[in-house]
Amino acid sequence: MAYTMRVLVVADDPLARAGLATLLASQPACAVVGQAASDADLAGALQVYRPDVIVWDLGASAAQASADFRDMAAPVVALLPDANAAADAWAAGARGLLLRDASAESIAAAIVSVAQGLAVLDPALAASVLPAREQARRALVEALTPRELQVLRLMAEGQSNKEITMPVLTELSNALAAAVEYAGAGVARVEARHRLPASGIVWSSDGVIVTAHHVVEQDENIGIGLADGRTATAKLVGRDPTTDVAVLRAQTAGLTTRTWADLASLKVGHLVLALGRPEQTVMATLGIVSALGESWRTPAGGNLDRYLQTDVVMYPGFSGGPLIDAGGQFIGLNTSALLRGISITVPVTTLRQVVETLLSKGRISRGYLGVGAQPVRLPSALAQQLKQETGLLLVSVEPDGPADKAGLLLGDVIVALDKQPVRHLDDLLAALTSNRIGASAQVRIVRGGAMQEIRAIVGERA
Amino acid sequence: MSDLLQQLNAEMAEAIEGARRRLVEVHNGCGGAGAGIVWRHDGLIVTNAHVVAGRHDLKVTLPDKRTLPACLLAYDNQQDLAALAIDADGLPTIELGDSRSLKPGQWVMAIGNPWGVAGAVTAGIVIGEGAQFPEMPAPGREWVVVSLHMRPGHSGGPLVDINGRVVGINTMITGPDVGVAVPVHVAKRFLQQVGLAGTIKQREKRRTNGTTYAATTLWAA
Repeated sequence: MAYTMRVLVVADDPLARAGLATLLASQPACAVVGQAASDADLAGALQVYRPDVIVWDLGASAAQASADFRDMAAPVVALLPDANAAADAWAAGARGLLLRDASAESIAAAIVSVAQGLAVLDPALAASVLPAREQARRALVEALTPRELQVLRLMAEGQSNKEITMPVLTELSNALAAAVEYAGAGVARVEARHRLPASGIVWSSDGVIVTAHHVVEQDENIGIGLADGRTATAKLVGRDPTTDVAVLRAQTAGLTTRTWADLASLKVGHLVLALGRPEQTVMATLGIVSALGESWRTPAGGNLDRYLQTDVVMYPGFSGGPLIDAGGQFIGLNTSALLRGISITVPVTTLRQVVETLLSKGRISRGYLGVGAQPVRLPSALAQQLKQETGLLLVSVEPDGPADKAGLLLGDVIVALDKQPVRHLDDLLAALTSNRIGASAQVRIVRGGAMQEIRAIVGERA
Repeated sequence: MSDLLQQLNAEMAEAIEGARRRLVEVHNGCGGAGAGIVWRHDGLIVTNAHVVAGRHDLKVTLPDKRTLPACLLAYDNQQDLAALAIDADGLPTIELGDSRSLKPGQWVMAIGNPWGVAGAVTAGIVIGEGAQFPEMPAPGREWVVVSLHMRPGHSGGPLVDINGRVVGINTMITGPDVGVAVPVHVAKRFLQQVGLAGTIKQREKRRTNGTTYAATTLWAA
């Protein structure tokens, strides 16, 4: 950063003025553009010389810190005879405070820092400027921006200028990278389709990998790549297309797993990261929680306990990878297939239910009627009576299926199931939960313009 | 807004301000304007090859609004890098960062001139760095892939880290939210390959003064 600071030297003693100018001339970061006495026409000098910083020598006796540095067109670095003058000079608005015997290097460093908007305090003067008197302290604190306060605090802790320059941004950037590195150990590569590999979450150390259903196109010989570089072969344990979750078991053990977050503390606006491992290294994108709602039924008929939408970018191969919080804990499984163009996360609670069911049964059981149907508009009289505009017209009835056995016919229009209105296919899918399997359900239909109730035994979808 | 967010905003503005003062506009004579980086105080400008492709009527607008004719010293279409010279000296130069140590998740900002908006900034994080990327043209080439809203006019401008140090040359996008930059160590290597690691020779600079800077000594890969 080869930028030279334009410096105006102000001192009443001509000898001190010349000495200071010579001293600063030795510093490559500074160019002394002018000199003036404090009682001269300073406003004029500032207009002529246009300095970036004013270096103001307050002289051997500290009696003259009467000027108000705040009015100056450039920030002031004040040189003080002793610590007694520090509080007054600070109160007068000096942005840098150094002792008169400071080295040329430290004056130059203060000039550069002050020009960048930082406050600079000689450690020997800090005690006087942060005085014991409560009132003065409060006035000082109020006069400082939060940033200046933090810089002061960090200087007091003895941190170097580099670390001070961007404390929050540095911490944020490092924290994000650390979260990715930590959580990345529990993210695997899943090679189960012809095009590029996708990602998966290491579920247990004994080889269970959870990924997205839509990225698994084969049941056997699925390649798994782990964070430590190991590879393994995995088999499909089971899949649930309705929540886009698939469970794989790899022929290996001793895998690294990571912890799951508590979703109760998650809020809209929180920073989150999507991780993926389509190749050897872990990759990440950043976003915030865009929407967080109650339970949500996916278009495919699955049920998520929370609707969790983010604005993270799903880079190619990210599906099946985790969404993590700023602390590196897993929040859920990301998929771009549940809702077109929107990153949806299958939250941990639902994921746990689905994975445990798939591990124990190999599939998610769902109720089944054995019909093909499409929504149709009801005649207006019927619509008024039922207080619903549409019903489901049966366009196919599977022979010997539950609907066929119950006597449902092609052309019937289903309008309710156990008194719950059925307007769309979604309503029917949602009603056919696994606990209805084997139970009798009352199907309300419209046949030949008249309403009719038919009892059907709900089957289980293969 | 909390103190923390205010401070974050202040720091981002500060980090970007320095890099902005080292950003130039590169005009290629057909209405287009890309971005470029003041690489050295003696007038060496680095940009993308596709920003200057096939053009002889090149001009560079400095941050102080001076517009100077520029001479194309070298370009490499494969690496999408180009080096220009302008007749200027004492320019504030950008500090070079370390593109090899970039980590996924790290904060970065891209600066350029999209849609003629000079010095427009977009911020995001590093998705990954290196040669292993799925669905990327020219397999085996090194990239910095970032998650931010890069746009065509960002081409040739710097991708900077949180301290305002350049870590990449903004080059292309592979989606609305995915930007791709040439790592700065690749740009350094390019300058060495074409013999521009030292200072620009007077002869080359003089050619930028007149209109007769036909590309006689042009180095191209």
